[in-house]
Amino acid sequence: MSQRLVIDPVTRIEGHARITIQLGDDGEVADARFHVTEFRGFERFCEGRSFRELPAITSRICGICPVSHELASARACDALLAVDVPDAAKALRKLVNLAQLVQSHALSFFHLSSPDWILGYDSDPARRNVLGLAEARPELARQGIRLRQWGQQVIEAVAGRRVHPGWAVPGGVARPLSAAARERILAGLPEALATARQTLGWFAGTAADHQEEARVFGNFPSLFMAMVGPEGELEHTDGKLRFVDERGAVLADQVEPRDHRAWIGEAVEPWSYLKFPYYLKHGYPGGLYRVGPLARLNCCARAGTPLADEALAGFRQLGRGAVLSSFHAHHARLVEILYAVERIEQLLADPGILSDEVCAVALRSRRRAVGACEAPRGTLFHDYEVDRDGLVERVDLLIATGQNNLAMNRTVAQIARHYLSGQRLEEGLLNRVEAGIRAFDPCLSCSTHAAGKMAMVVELLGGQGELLDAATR
Amino acid sequence: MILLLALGNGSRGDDGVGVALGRALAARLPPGAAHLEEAIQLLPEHAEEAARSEAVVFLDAAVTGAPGESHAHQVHSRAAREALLHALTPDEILGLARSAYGKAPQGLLVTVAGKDFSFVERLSDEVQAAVPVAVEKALSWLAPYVAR
Repeated sequence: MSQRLVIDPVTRIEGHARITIQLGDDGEVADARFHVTEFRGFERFCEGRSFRELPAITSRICGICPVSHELASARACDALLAVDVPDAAKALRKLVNLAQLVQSHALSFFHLSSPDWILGYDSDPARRNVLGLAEARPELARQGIRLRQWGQQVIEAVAGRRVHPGWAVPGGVARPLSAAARERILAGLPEALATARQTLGWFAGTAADHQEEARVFGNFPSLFMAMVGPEGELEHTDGKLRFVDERGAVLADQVEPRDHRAWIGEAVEPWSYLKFPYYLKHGYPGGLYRVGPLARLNCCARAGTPLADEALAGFRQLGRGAVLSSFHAHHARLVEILYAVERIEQLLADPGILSDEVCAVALRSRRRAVGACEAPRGTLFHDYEVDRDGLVERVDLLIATGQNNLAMNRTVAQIARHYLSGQRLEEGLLNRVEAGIRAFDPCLSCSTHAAGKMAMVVELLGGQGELLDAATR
Repeated sequence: MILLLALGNGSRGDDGVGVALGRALAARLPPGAAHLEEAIQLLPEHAEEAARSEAVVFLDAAVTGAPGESHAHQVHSRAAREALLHALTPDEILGLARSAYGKAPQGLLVTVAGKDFSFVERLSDEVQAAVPVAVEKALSWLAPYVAR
């Protein structure tokens, strides 16, 4: 008789979730499901509105990565207008996207995930959080706070507000960068760079302590997808798509984001509101691909900044071909923070970034358009259709967490197979399932466009679907 | 320096009372005596600002109580909370300030119970009327810090 385990809620992710572990007749883990059970249908809110409102509306999907939605939306609107966005606006959009990457990755690494490594997966859950981290390693907690704060200050300096800035608009951005704001950003940059380098050095040096997690947390062959620049370099805002396989071999390159539907299919399962995107040519579920920091470093030929290129070379030692373990996404986040700080400095060094020509004005000239960018969690697509008056008829959002859905399910199954003993949900298993999911830094608010918080339930089911055990967090 | 952390969303009716309280309180304090920070929710970085302050007043709406009912009570630092997300509570901000920066200031939480949290950008009459009452409570508690 097969059996089922349930974990609820998963903590320290953006939103909560429910997990079911299905045992087979032999008592071994047969399958695992990461359920997302909330739904708001954000796309429907947008129908009938002017497309010019969409950057402001869609950014409200999420309080963690509103900049990503605003940028993807503005880029879709640029395409509806068929305008050439001024160079200064392009540079400012890149800069803000990188600043958001810094603040989001800092939140994920320092505040949400590092308590597991510093305090231990089996430590008291009441202490295994940023407060416990501050007691055990106050300097690390302070660095995390300062780095995230700097990322937010950059967003505020450029876009006017830290959250939901309403700054990226169709055709460009709402206001130019002032020289004073540029100087404020540069003033904090050396500390951010030092923190990024120091933290990367420390974490890379602890690799031997994490060998088991690296082996078990989402360590399997898969495809990867990310934006890259024209020469294969890291590019988070204005790139084209590249798919690579587990060997790191390029399967498709320089794919226009507007053509993403020719490459990505979406399967639906009755037990989750989160869809299951897959690489179309390999079918479902064989076309499992991952997005996010791990995918970006696996897809790019080089980072494109001096220190990040060095760090990327070190990162690549973690795998043969592509780096396969999702645990290494934590390391990848640190490489990306380093890259982002360096790239922000490069962007600010160009005097043209202070240009006051930051928005092109035009009337709508297309009826359908796609905008994309790399959100901290992976590639984000906004696909719009409008009527002749520019009113929205259809919105389709393809979100990073959704694209990692198949991989997260497989990760839960892999962890359960390794740590489940008997028919009970032990604390050690629950902690590691949570940590395995956190490695993806999922944002369920984004992926389901859901409001509020979800809780994680873990259920253990027998072969006939009978509930054997359940845990709620 | 006194830190005023005014919490809430002005687009959700009475949830904006924290911000209204912060602005009203700041206007009653001597110039340069306080720093007003408005936020949707408390985040770890607020602990850094708290640690640099002599006293912190958290100003927020309450979802329980009779509309317009105001309360002020001292906040003590707390070490931890299970299932912690990225939004913190006032006692956790003080706890994080103590752990990470070695100093937790004195803290006061001032709340006004809301009536209407719908999508409107105004306070209900009961809540609006409670603002000066709640501000007086905060001023009373702050008197020793202002006098220094």
